[in-house]
Amino acid sequence: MLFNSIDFAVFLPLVFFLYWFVFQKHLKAQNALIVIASYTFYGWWDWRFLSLILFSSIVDYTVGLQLQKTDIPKKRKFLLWVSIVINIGFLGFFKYFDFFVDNFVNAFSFFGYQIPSTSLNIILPVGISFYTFQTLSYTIDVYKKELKPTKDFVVFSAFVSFFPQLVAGPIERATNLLPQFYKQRQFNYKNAVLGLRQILWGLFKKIVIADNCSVIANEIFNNSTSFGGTSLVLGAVMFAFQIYGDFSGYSDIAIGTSRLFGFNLMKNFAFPYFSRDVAEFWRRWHISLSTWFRDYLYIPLGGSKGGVLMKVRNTFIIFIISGFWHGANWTFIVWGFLNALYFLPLLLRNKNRVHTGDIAENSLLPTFKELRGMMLTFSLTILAWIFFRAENISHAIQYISDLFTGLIDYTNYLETYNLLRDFGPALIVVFIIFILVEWSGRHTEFAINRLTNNRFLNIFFYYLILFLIFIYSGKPQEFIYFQF
Amino acid sequence: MKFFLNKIVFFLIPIFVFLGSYEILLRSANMPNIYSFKDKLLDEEYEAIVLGNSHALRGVLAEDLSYSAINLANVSQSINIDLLWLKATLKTQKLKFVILNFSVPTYTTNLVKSSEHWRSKNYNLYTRLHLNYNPKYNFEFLNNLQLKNIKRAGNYVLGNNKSKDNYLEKGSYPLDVYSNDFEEHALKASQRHLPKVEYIEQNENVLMEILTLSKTYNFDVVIVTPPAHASYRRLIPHEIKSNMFSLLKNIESKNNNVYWLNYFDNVSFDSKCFKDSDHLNFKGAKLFTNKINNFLINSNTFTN
Repeated sequence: MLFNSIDFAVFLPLVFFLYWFVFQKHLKAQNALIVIASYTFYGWWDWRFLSLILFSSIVDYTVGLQLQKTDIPKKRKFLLWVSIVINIGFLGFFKYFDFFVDNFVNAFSFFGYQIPSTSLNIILPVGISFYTFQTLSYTIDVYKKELKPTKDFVVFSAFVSFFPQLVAGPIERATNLLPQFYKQRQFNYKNAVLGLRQILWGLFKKIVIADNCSVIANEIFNNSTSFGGTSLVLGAVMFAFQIYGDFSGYSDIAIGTSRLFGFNLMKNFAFPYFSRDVAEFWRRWHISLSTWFRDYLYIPLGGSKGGVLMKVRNTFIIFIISGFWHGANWTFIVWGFLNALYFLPLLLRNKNRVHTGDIAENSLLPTFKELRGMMLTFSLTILAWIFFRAENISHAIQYISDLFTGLIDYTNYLETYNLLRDFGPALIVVFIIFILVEWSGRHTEFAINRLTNNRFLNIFFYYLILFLIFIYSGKPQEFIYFQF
Repeated sequence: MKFFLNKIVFFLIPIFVFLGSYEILLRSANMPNIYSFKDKLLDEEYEAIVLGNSHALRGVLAEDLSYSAINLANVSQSINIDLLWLKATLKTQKLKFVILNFSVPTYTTNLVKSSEHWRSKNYNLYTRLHLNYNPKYNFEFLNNLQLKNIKRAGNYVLGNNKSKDNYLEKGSYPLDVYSNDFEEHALKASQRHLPKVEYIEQNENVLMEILTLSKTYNFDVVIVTPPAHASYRRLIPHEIKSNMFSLLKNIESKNNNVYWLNYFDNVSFDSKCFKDSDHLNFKGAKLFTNKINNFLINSNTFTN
């Protein structure tokens, strides 16, 4: 089920009603309702893959309980590996099997050996990378004795399949989300209003910004050889805003929906395009994944505490695996590699934590230095996004080399102007207003977290956003991160 | 909680009022249309109805038949909708026969599952048929880009309505155009008509249901497979064609009230008879209807 669909518009109020009016006084019933609603939500896409979530839940639930029963290190390690092998095994099979087989076949054919390809054209279950990481974090935390395992299977199932964040995160930690299922939830008016506001902003980012940027980005990326340099720059910028609107929009809807049910999820985006360096960008982009890798991979590998070689090794490992997590394509690996290259100089010079606060902390506008850093970071990010969006490596290289062609050719600019004209002047104005609203809300959790004190002005603003969503809505488009 | 719900209700009221008015406006702007027109045709009595997709809509001229008949075919109309039309007709009328178009997409596609699924709303909104309860197919404003919808509603309010479609008085809608590029169209059309096994089974079952109705209500069924241009025929897999033909042949041989007129490979229709690779133009429709009519006149069954 898509957040931006009629189905969800019916589903959400229905579950909300049952949750607060029918099962309000029964915590266990509320949790059971969450599980049923979550399985319905997921099964709407393809009910067959519910068995994967159920199986994954059973495995980690059982492993968790077994871990509690024993203190023998060997046995505990064995149990941990059972969970890792099963979870990563599923992920590897569904997501990476064809990739490895194809590359294996290509490698052999390069040396003159022809072996038949046995690609299975496997369907990738939506959200598998997200809920796999979530269940893994539970087992690892229990293994590290940072968390007591739950004995309530319904609670555990609710934690694994919680529908707002099931298919595209935020990837929740058991230490944050699991305890919330034990507590009696009380309806909180302010929290609910905040949730609705965040949902509204998320829908705006998805439907108005991302879906409309995707039209131009797709047009340019799919026919990149027929466009000049300036149009290719436009295509890359459009993709940058598409992926931001799409993914952060999803996270806003997920977090907002959770608030309606009395849950607090972790923040996943913190205005990443206002970052002044790449290290800051990675503290603000897909925070739940970055911190997951930091806590469960980077730090166990030694983090940044060892020598230079260790730092370099760990940085490349974490970024390349993070890239590969996004998809079974060399483009994602190069995307990760590039980000490691961007990040490494900052780490080696101990400048990776220079910008820990917000940009323009006490002023309306950034300083020249901040602006320069922001522009440079945005440009580097866009360059990496080209690999992320391209069909394959050669497409990305071709795209980048074409970026610098025809920059002094007048017809190129005319072509870019025509593309923007197709985008529509009204939409360009909306786009600029979107950036200004994001800028003005950069110190808060999401851009319209705090509005004015004038109630009527706020209501007018809500109607305006709804109207823009309505005007610019087309065919509901899937969220990009569903494919990961 | 009550306070929250009250606020939500008050916030939503203007939205629902707006959407309701907008929906009424869009429906009004969309009237009259070929669906409402055909629905109205059912109010009178006829001896025959023509059912099918655009191949019948463009290719069978109910106006040229020697019997009183109407054409209830429509673009991308799948056989399950033909059945609904037939059931609706049988509620008020006693038919002598049904001309049922059965071409490749009749055999292989289902409107709601096709790229043309949005047309489903036209049946729900403008005819007495009811296809499903999916909100998307029961509201005008949930279809199309809103900027287009607003333009359409605006034109309606300003009185700049689009001109009425040129469908004929008995519901046929032939087009007097000629094609220059059959090959490209054939490629797209054949891809659109590519089969899914589940639809073939479903469509065969619906055909059987139509035949059962023909026995119950005592009418004959003339199945017509219209001519197709060579460029299109070439791209239809042999297996699909032979399965479809053997099904229809089998049905004809086992039912004495069923006739099958197969013009799919008929060479008497040259390129000038086609609007595109799989649709007849006005000239082709005249010729094809004439052949059907001759069959109806010469067959003893229909002369009484």
